[in-house]
This record gives sequence, structure tokens and C-alpha cells, in this order.
Amino acid sequence: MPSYDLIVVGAGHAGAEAALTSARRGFSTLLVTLSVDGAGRMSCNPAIGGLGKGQLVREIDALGGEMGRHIDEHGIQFRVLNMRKGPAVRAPRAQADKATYNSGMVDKLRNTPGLDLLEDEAMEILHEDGRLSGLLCKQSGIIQSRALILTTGTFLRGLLHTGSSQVEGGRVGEGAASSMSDSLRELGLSLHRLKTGTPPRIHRDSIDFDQCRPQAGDEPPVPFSHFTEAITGPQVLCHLTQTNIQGHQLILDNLHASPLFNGTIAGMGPRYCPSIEDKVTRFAERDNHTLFLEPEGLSTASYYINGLSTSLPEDLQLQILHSIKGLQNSEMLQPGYAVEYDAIDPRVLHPTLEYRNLDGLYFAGQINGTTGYEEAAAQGLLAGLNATLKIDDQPNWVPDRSEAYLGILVDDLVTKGADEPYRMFTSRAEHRLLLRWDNADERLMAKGFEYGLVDGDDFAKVSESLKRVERVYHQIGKLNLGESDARKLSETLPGEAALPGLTAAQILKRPGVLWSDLAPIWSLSEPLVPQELSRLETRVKYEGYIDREKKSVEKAKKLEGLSIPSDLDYSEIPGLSTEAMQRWNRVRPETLGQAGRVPGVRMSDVSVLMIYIQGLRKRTQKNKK
Amino acid sequence: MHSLDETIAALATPPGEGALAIIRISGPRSRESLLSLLADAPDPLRERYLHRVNLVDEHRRPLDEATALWMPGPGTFTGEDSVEFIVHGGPLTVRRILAALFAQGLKQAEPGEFSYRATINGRMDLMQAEAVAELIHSRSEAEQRLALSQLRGSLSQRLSPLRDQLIALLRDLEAGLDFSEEDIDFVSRDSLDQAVSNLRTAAAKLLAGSEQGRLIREGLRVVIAGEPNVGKSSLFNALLEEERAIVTAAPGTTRDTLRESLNIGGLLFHLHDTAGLREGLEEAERLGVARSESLLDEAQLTLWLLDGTRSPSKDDLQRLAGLNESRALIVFSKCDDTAFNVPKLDTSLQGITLSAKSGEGLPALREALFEMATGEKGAEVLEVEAALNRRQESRLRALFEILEELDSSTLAELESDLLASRLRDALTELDELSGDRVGETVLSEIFSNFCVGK
Repeated sequence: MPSYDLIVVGAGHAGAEAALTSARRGFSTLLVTLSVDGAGRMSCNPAIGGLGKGQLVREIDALGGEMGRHIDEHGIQFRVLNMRKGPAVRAPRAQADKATYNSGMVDKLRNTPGLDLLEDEAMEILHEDGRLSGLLCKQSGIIQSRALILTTGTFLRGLLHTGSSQVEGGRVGEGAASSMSDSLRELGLSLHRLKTGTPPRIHRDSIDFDQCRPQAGDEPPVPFSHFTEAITGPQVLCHLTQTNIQGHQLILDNLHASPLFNGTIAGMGPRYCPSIEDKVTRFAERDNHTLFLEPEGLSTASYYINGLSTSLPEDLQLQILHSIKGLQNSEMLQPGYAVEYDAIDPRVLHPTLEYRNLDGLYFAGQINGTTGYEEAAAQGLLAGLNATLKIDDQPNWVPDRSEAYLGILVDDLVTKGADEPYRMFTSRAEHRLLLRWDNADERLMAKGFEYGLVDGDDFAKVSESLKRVERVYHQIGKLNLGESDARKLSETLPGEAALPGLTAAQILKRPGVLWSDLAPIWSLSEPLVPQELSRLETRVKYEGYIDREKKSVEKAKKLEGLSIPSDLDYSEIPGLSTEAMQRWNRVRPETLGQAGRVPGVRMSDVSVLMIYIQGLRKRTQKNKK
Repeated sequence: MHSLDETIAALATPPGEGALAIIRISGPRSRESLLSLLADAPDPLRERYLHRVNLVDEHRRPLDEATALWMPGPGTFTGEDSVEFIVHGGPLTVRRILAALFAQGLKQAEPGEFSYRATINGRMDLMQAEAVAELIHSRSEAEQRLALSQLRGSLSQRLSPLRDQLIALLRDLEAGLDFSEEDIDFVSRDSLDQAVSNLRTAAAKLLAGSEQGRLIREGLRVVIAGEPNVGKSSLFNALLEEERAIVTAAPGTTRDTLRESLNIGGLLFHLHDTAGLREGLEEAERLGVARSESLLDEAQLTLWLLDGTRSPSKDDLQRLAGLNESRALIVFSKCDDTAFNVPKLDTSLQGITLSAKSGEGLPALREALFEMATGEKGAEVLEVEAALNRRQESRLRALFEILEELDSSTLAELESDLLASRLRDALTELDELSGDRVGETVLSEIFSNFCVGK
């Protein structure tokens, strides 16, 4: 009977990261998928990153994951968003060549030592004595393992809707997996329906680009990965156009034909990624909505119409497209569709993403109620890391909310659940100023190195760069402005005059001032590359604010530090409201801080819990004596 | 605090002699303990009904003749089953009844435990609990009204629009940060400026109210000062209508300062009787004089006493010149004396003539004190509905300071992520103010402010 340390089921963005993490850490790993060629496929939009998501990719990268490097290899347009809005809300985003992103990932998986790929359908989770023991596959039968990560994406009882036609499947042209849903129910997991949608794809040659507004990437393109020197692939344009009143009327006249509106789809869809049907009904006062025409690759003619997600019948989709400027003659390659699928309630998971009721079974990605490649990949990496740590009897590792978006992601999932598909936003972070895309390495790379996922030389390089910035930071605090330099500087500097005696750091702190403004006066003790310079500028400008956030993190940590016994019986606690009892019994929070974040729980309940736990601790201490 | 499984009991009225006293019981065993103390249980035991009962101890020895009130939860102060006994007010009776209850395993309630239970059981929010503490500690009518209005949730109500505005502002700002690529209209810096300025105004209004509230809650410090033997202690006693300070004909009798509180028109005045100001002859009197000086520095109102039978000294004139007309009065004492004569003084200070002995002029002095304390607003000051205690005020001030920091020029150039960070700080202050997210310290501080029985 074949046997592995870890089995990963599903080879999407979560499964790929999980399998690579495990194999790279030296654990024998099997990746089971319905289609090996579909590994790492981008089934929705042809892009990686964006606000919140871009930060996640940087974190994955700092921890030695694949996604950042991979998009750098297969990106065809790179932009850093919000460049004018402050470093804590900037984020990288890139358009990808879907075909090579997919095939490149298949190659990486095939060529990773210690990782086997199996094309088969996973049927049933096997367990013995409350521990996971393996997987039953349709063709290959029983395969033993010590841990298993389930990353089934939208494939669990997936149902695709276009107009009134419904096809079973997780992605267009691929079958769904249904027996696994039964197996999960047997394990005590309840499944609920979520839905998501995707827009039509059209042929490049049928678009009149002259009627659309071009949008170029940054020049030079800024890579995602800490380990990429430069983006070398060819870069392309995206285009913008708009819907109009005629198109809106067409949609309003035919809402009855949309499964999202006529009741065919019961699953909850994301509010932040509305279908065009949603947009024209909820924002009836608007007479246009922006659409982004995104090429799906260099070698394909397919364009993704971002902003036009719909599940209307095919002929109507074409009519709507033809009402839009620049798309009057467009030829549709694939109609938009909505997909409904099964997801678990992630509140049954530990923050490591391990199922509370079965040791060794982990869940990652869309099955946990998230959307997005980045959210999936981040969970895959975390589950892969923690599953292998557990196999080795090592303590698990989960970053907290002040350390990483990854920490926010899993804390939100296991604490609040995901009634609608969960997507990362920067506003989910209480300590956003600390969690910047430009300091993911500072926050996390030491962990990546410790767990053997980041190469020693790479880590040394980054550490050296961080130290360099630190030294320069101290240097510019000691550079004082002389009389003549002050006069010179005041002529060019925006805002108030620069007075003699000010330090370089004090002047750099002012809004709008960059080191390049000061470079004619002072030279740095050692040269910094542009990324290091911007790190320096952020450090100086944000100092006071960052210190304040760090203090509030310290304060919050006191509650985070109070751990709740895992076998606590909430019904034993006097004075607890029934509501809090029910909610906590479901979530089983691990710390008092987490307990306080459970939605619908009153602060007085948290106080009762705190008093009870402290009392419990005192009683235990007494008993020990 | 005890576990909520336990039933607690305590004296709910002030300890000491009194005509009547109330003993309060709360917890699951309330009814059982009530019945066990009764010589004959009323049949039926009615809810929320004053039963006339004879109380006996565990050996059926009579304790007292009393009235008993049985109130099943959750519609009670604590939200639990409760009992109240109205008993005769001697300390011995009360002690014996409590002892009988404790003999059955009831626990003595810790300070604030009844309110603690009320909060835990969701009967009050944190601000209401604080209001109860203030109601208990209130010494004037206005203070009571304030605490009562807070108990009805007026502060929560006033804060909620502020909170809504702040959340709306953050929502608009955050949308522009997280969805900058998408198809929405972003909030402009101008409208941000307007919204922050509205918030600032609202916060300032609440702060102003809190100054009035503090006046009501904390009262004013009034220092009676003057040279030795001008009748300061006599005036002190006369205002209090009791022989509190020792009065002799010898100058320098008062060496320590005395403090008593006086209620005038619903406002609280803390009167300080001080040692007469002169070059002290011996150590004790010198120390007393030094203390008088420092009290004068901190006084909110000063009554400068002049002996109406003598002309003011050079020192007196010097002192008077240094007093502010809105914070000080001249009192000419001994107006019943034949030698009394109001001297001509070059001062804008209001003068009151009175006799501590006959009581003449005392009503005028009370009136003048009240007017001076309330200022232009007069008695309206007492009408303030929502005011803040010190914890709340310091939170609100922190909130206000954040809003002040975000002035127009800062708003114009501050990076959006920093702006959002500051507004989130402001929201945190507001949440802590309203108790939405209170930590351990706040809660324990609040409850330690409660006295037993409430």
C-alpha cells in the first residue's frame, strides 16, 4: 500500500503551495488532482495581487512560497496600486499569462523532488482512532498518510450556471467531485453553498481598441518577489471602457433570466464582487460602470471583461457586449457563468487550519469560504507548514494579526466564519501601518528561513539590506543642515523653509519630501538601491505613527496571551449569556482576544469568561500546591 | 467576586443608627433564604408585594419585625432572584440578621457586586453601571439628576451620533483605499475636512457639558480666609449650622484646616476653614498658616473675611488687591457689633455684611456663592443632562485631541493610510468611552468604586 507523510487533495493555488511547502521541507508528499494539467490554473481573472491580496503574496514570498516568484515569471503587466496614497495601502498587482502560469506551475510541481502527482478522484477521508490515516481514491484505492490537506476549491458539488443551463463541474470543462462531500458530512462537517461568478471572454481581434482608454503598467515593472532581480518578459496594455444605459436596460428587462435573480442560485455571493445584474439594480442611479479589458496571455486572443461578471443566458450576454463602446462587434469566446459550490464553516478549524475533530486533517483555500488565488495560496502554505510541523511533533506556527495579513486571514476565518466568500482587504487589519507590502521580508523571512523554505544566501542578502537601511537611518539623524545649504534647500523644497540646524531626518519627515530632494546636499554613508531608499523614507515618515501602533499591539497582546483551556465547558460558566455560550462553543476560541472578536458576543460576556478563566487558573495553582 | 452560583447578601443602606435599614439578597437561593428566616411563611408568597413578617434565626429566636419583598429574576436590579428586607435600623439588629443569612451559606457581597451582577446579566451597560456608582455617591440634587439621566442612557444616546459619524467617515475613507481600482466615487479632502470639523464640534460640545457635569459632581472648593480672630470659624459653623469648628476669643485657635460640604441650591460647596494668616509664633501655627496659603492657591472661590469692627490691615489690602472679582467675595463680619463699620475700599470685589452670631446676611452670602459658582448660566447649569466622569472625560479629551490634530492643513497633506490610522484611534477612544470594548482594568476600576449593597 502506498504511503506518504502528507497527501494534498487538489492542485489549485492552495494545493500547489501546500504540496510545494511540504516537499521542500523534506516530507514525502502526494498531490492528488482530477487533472494534473489543470494545476495552478487561473479559472477566473487573469491577475494576481491587488489591495490586501498583494500584501498576502508578498508574505507568501517572504515565507518561501511560490506565488510571488511565479507571477514574476509569468506576469505581462505590473503595477503598484495606490502609489499616491501612502505605503501602508500600496499593493502590487500583475496581469498574468494564464497559459504559461498554469503550465509553469505544472512543471514546477512535476520537478519538485519528494513530490508525486496522481491524477485520480479523492473519494473518502480515512481515519483511525481519531487520527487521519489516509485517503481512498477512485482508481488507486487506499493511500496511507499521516496528514492530509483538502483544497477542493469550487469542485465540491460544483454547479455552473449560464442562463437556465446548469452543468456540474468545478471549472468550465472539468467535472465536479461529489463523493467527497458525503465523506466530509460523515466526519461531522456541515457544508453550505457559496457562489461566485465570472465574466465573458471575448476575442482580441473583435475589440475596437481605438474606442477604449489604454492603461499601461509601471515602467520599470516592480517585481512581486523579494528574490526577483527584474521583470524580463514582454509587457502589454490593458484597456478601459464603460457600460451604458442601453446595456443596463437590456439587463433590467431580462433579470428573470438570471439564475442569480430568479432564485435558481441559493448560495451567498460576495458583496464586493457583484455581478453586473447586481450593479445595475443596486446602483440604479448610475448610468455607467467601468469595465477593464484584460488580456489573458501573450499567446491567446482571449480577453477577460473585468467588471461584467454575469450568469445571464449566452445570447443576452452577447447583446450586452454589443451595446458597449469598443465591443460593438465583439466575438464571445466563452460566456460568463456563476458557480455554486460546497464550503465548510471554517469555525471548526484551529488557526493552523487543522480540523478540530480529526487530528491531521487540514483544509485550505476556497473550501474554507475564501475567494481569490492569493487567499488560497496563503492558506495552502500555512496548512502545509503546520501539517509537516505536526508530523514532526514540532510546535505549530501561526502569525498573529499584528504580524501578517496571513494571521488576519486565518483568525477571521476560524473566529468569524465566512457567510459570504471571504476576500482580504487592507481595512481588515487593525495595525495596517505595520503590515506593509514593503516590509513583508522584515516581518516574516526569518520564519521562512527557520522552516527551511527560504534559502540561506537569499536570507543573508535580505538581512544585510535591512541592516544597511538601519545604519543609514541612524546616520541621517546626525546630519545637520548648514546655513548656506539651508538657503539652497529652501528654494527647492515645498512648504516651510528649511532652517539651519535641522537634521536630514527631520526634513525628510515632512510630507512630500523625498531623499532625492536632499541628495544634492548630503550623501549617504553607503549607497541604497531604490527599494531601500523608500524603506528608509517610510521608516522616517511613519515613525511616530508606527510606534503608536506597536504600543496598541502590546496592549492587545495581554488579552491574546490569556489562553482558554481547549476542554473548557462553556455551559459550566455561571452568568454567561446563552448566546455567548453557543457562539463560543461553535468557534472554540483559543485565546481571550479571539473570544472577544467572535461576532455577537457582548463585552460583559468576555469579562465573565476572563474572570472564570483566572479563577480556574488560581484553583489549579492551589491544587498543585 | 464570587461565582454567580452563590447567593449574596449585604446591608444596602448606610451603616450606623437609623430608623430603618434595608438588607438586600441576590442569587439563586434568595427565595429559600427568605423563607427560612420567617417565623410564619405568608401563603401565598406574593411577588413584588410588601409582606409584613417576623424574622427568626436558625434557632427560631426572634430577630426583628420587618417587611419583606420577594422579586424573582430576571426583572430585577441584578437580573437574578432577589429579596429585600426593610428592618429596624440598629446596627445590632442588622448584624444579627446578616449573621443568620450567612449561617445558611450566603456570602457577604463584595463592594459593587450587585452592580457587577447587573452588568454581567445584561441589565445595565457599563456607563449605566458607572451612573449607579455616581447616584450612590451623589451628595446634591443636581448630581443625582445627572446620574439618573445617565442611568437612562442619555450619554450613550449622545455618543452614538458621534460614533455613527466617525464610522461613516472611516467607511468613506477606507473605501477609497481598498477599492481605488474600482468603480466608486471617492470622498474628497474637502468633505473629509468638513466631516472632521463636524466631529470636532460635536466632541467639543460634549466636553463643555462635562465641565458643567464636573461642577455638579465634584462641587467647588471654597476657602474662608483672613487674618486671625476675624471670625472665620464662626462663619464656617454658621454656614454649616453646627458647631463644627472650635471657636474662642483667642486669635490663632484654628491651626489645622477643616473641611465640610454644604449644599446650596442643589450645588455642592466644599468649605475650608483655615488658620488665620499671620506670622505664626510657634511651629504648629506656622504649619497651619502654610497650609492655608496653599489652599488659597487652589481655591475655586475665596471668602476673604474682614473684622467689621476694625479697619483692614495693610496685609488685608494687599491680599484683596490680588483677588479676582469672579472668584472671590469680601465678607465683613460682626455686623451685630456696635463698633461695626464698613470701611471704604478701593476694590471691585463684591462685599457681604453679616453676623455669624445673629445669622444676619447669611442668606445673602449663600445666594452670592451660588451665583458666583454658576456664572452667567445661573441655575440652568443644573439642567445638564449628560456629563462625563473622569475616565470618560479623559477618553473624550483624547478623542478631541486627535480631531484637533487633524486640522485643515494636516488633512490636506496627510497620507490617507495615516489619516485612517488616526481616525481608527479616535474610534477606539470612543469605544472605550462607551464601554463597547472595555478591558480588564476599566471594568475592575469601575466596580471598585461601588459601595456594598449596590
